[in-house]
Amino acid sequence: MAFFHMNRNLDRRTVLRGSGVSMTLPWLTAMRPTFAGSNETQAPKRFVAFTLGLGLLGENLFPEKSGSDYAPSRYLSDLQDIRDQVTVVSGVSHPGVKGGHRAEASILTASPMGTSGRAKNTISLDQYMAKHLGDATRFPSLVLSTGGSTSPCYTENGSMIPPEDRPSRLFAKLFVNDSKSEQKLQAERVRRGRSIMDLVGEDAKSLGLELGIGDRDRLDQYFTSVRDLEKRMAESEKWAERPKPDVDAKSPVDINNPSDLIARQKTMSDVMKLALQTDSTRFISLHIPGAGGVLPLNGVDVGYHNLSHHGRDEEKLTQLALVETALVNCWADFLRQLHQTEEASGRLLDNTTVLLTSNLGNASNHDNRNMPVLLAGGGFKHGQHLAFDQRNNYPLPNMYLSVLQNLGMEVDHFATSTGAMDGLAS
Amino acid sequence: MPNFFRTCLVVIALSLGSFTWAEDAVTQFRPSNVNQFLQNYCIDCHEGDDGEGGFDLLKLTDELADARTMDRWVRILDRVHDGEMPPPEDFDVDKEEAAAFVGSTNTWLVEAQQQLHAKRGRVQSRRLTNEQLERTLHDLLAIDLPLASLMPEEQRTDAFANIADAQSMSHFHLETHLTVVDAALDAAFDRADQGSETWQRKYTARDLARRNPRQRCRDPEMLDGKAVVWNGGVIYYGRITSTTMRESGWYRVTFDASSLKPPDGRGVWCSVRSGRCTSGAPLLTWIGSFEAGTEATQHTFEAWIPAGHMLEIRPADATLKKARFRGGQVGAGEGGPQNVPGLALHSMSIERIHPGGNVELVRQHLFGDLEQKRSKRGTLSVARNQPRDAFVDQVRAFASRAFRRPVSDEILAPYLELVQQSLEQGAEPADALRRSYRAILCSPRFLYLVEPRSDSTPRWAADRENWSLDDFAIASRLSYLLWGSMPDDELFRLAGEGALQNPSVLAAQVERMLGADRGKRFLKDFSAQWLDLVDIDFTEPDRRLHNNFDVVVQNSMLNETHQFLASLLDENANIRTLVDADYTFLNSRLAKYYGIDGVDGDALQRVSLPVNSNRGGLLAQGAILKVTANGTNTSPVLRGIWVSERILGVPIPPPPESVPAVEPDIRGAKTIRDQLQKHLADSSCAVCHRKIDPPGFALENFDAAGRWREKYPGFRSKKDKTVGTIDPSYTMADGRAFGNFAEFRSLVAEDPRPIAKNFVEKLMVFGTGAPVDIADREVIDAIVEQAADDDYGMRSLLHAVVTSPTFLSK
Repeated sequence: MAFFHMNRNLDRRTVLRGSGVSMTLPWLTAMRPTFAGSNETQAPKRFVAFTLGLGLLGENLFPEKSGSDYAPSRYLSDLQDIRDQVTVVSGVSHPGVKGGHRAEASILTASPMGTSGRAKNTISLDQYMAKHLGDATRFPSLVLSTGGSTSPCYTENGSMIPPEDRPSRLFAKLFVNDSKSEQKLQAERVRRGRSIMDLVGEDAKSLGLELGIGDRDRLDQYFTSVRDLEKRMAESEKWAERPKPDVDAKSPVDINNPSDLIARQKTMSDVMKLALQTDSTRFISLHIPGAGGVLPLNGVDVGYHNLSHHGRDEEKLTQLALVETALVNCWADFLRQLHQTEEASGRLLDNTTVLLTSNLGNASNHDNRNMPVLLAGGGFKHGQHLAFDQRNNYPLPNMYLSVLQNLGMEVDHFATSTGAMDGLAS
Repeated sequence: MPNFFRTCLVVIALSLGSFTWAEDAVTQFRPSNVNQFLQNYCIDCHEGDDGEGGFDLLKLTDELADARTMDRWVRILDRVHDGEMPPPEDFDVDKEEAAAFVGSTNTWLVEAQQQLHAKRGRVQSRRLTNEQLERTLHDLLAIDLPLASLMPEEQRTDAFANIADAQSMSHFHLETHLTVVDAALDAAFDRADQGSETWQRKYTARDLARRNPRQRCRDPEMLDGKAVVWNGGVIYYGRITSTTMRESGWYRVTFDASSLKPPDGRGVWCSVRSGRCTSGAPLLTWIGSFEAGTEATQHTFEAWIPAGHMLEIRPADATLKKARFRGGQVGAGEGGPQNVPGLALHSMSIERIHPGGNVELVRQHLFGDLEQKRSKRGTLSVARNQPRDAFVDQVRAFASRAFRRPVSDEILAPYLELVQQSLEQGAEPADALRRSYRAILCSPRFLYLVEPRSDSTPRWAADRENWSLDDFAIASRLSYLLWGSMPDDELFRLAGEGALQNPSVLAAQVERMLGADRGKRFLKDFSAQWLDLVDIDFTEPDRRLHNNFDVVVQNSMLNETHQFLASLLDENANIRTLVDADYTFLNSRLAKYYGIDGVDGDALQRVSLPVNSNRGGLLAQGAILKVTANGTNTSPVLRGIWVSERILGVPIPPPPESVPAVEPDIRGAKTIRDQLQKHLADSSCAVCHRKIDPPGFALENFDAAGRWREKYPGFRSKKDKTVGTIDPSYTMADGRAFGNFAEFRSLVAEDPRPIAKNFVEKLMVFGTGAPVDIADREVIDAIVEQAADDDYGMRSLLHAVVTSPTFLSK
């Protein structure tokens, strides 16, 4: 019996899987997206993730019945017009991911962070896509938030990417051309930045020689960052010369009230749609963290975070449902907008996979199992409730793998996936 | 089958060796008696994917260079050592056999860890944390603007943000770092351009009050020659439009204030905050609080106030009666008749200050001895025609301070070349320097704490394989531990003389540094992470459940804990006092909140507590009770883990995958005690919950906002008054029983050694940026043992850490 263990463990594929996605697999470097040619007749494939900091109440989200003839749950009842564009998934989570709010870091990476303090995060789904497919657009990806400084988006070495949380700033970044003098100044700044990177990169090398082997590993990370930044600066120099796309829209007015999550989500969603439509980027994530304040909704007078710790208190559950209904409906409006937008081949929604999920399956007790999951668009066959075991969860990374494959990427695993997702077909 | 395994364990261990650490591979395999023991007692339960507790012995390798494998082994060692494994109810383990296992395993693991230290050092280049980076730039350039808010948020691992192994670096970090560096250099060079500027404005009461007395608004109203704000709930009521700042900066705000219609025998507690005070930007920044009495008294606050912010000063005491106002605005004369307490401002003065240093100091840091010329307009600039050497000297001086050690010509060359190039291209000398500084501040020598091996091996390290640090690395370790910033001139001087290897010099420096102004940072910085106080704002207690809680209370709590820790350090108090002190620090507001009589005034003062008091000691302080709860309810599990890990030094591993989390249920069906009782029946749960639950239950009498309670909220029954009554009694893991929090506290304080050990470990992590590992145990145990001579004094423990071989080695 022991020898079977050994054989299995020496299997090459398993070894690769164990070492995580951060390893560059040889067939990935050769991989080309099907739509990268200069004469694109087929619309590009995109991915958008909405991530929630405080979960959604499972009892209000998941329908009782599985399959395609489920009766809509409370939160899905307003989504019946786009029912055939949405899949609701229950009984899934990231294997081994724990830590309550801390698992926010793992929403898109599926990486168990552990408590030993030794674990590091790995690349998030959106950044994985951006890394391999992102160079076709001005912005490889957009990392956004409705407020605050955290995002669930991580680079390969586990660094969080700070989000943009002002729609007006995002709009300017995407669509407002800088003045000629500003462009010149910008170019000069980039050029100087590049020369600094060059200099300190060399300094890191010489410092590595002065220090021991352990420090050299650490400095190697720094050195890689320097090279990456240089590369990005070169890219941005290139794009700086081209004009930004024209859009028939005014710059949005930012919602200043940090508690008005729904209005913030809506304003950001509008700019996101424009970004996709103009092919400014193909990969977007919008994080909606659990703010502490009271949402300006009728019938709600207790702070959102506080509501999430409902402790089965009737009043809190009622108010929480009001907040979460508004969040889900705002997400659905985004889907409707994409559905109504025609492009080269089909509708925008057909070419854009949109995910809504959260690290918390139960915010009241900080449980990371039974994550709320809604998937829409992207050419998947939707209109069903994929119900998995709520006691013994099915791995959510399998869905991430399916989404990657749907983008045309030849990959056979992502994080702790065990295969493509059962029941989810393109 | 068992005999077959004996050899297989080793074979498999070999074949599954980690790939990434090959160069570090530790050559020894587990000693044979270790394998024998595992064979006899462990393999039956811990085999295969469904092994108990998710632990498969067959997957455990001998690759101790792999941190996770090492952790596993250490945990096995500790559990056998503590008698938790093999489960005593299932096995009668031969004591000698177990002792032999523990001995061999320990030697094997310690030696392997020491080998790793010898090869790589105990800690590798750690990056400055956000706070350290901010302060270092402040000290380097004599500036004082907030910079940490520009930096990407950093994660804390095992409480600390400075763990080198957990820090990450990416192009995003570097990109934002460039932005931070530019903001810092902008501030410094702009300041150097200015003359010695001052700004001050004086305000009469009329200046502070609303301009138009007929307009309903939120500014104070004029009443009997004073600017008056009544106690009310309207947001921004008490804002003072005339104090809107034109420039961001540090300001000293001084004003005279008195109370109106004060509650019986008390003053009126008020808050001072700043903000834009418009509905579009509702956030207010905390500045401070004070208690206004019937006689006018003067209050002074210093704060960073961003441009566009104004002051808001108002009564802020949740226990006081509030006036009601229509439509979110306040008309003059509407508050008075409602008979609520109020605040009267008599006059104010606001003055721009520069805590970072004066203009001369900024210029000294930027331009040193370079010749400067005064233009006709009076501005200073660096003269162009100076010998090249003058520029070389200045760049070298700046780089040495930035890199925290002398800089060789070779290292300096590229940074010098930048200056040279810029000057040749006709740049202003100041701009040329600036370009070079920008590069210097992006160098890894600035961003990371560089700790090369010392050339000389001091006496105490002769028998160790560890790397001893050179003087400049020691200077940095000291200054980042105690000040959270770069070394000052004296530390640099001593390092240059090679004096920091001398323990008595080190000890004197610790005293000097703690005594300096910035020495006050040490306990605040350390406790912010060690005790999670950095999270004090994370939750806002549910108003319906905690109606007496307010921001003044929260800040008083934080100050209480800070002052308490400072008193322990100042008095070199026995570390057990941390838990069982018979005093604390209160002002009138916090005393009222805690239900303690006889404390007057807004200054925190030392208050002796009666023998039967529920307060006293860290665990009964509001700030600790708040950060260990979620704002609404408390969890004995979360608090129990917190006390175990942060105070008692007992690490608690996460629960096995298969266990569902306990869902808080406040409807009254079941108490948390009923729910947790189940754990004791299951041995794999009980092993940790025996340690977690006692402190957890002992603290149940404190609610999520730190108040004492006898009953759980939501439990009400007219028939049976005992329903929902909190039962804090429990039995410690070692079998000693306690009936309430006070008894629990006494039991914990009986033995100061675990508390001392934990304190030393946490200091060691905070001071070196690496978790404590098995090879550090010997040093830590020795420190604790020697501390007995000094009655386990907190200050003595700090000294012992700083002069320990672990702190002074890489």
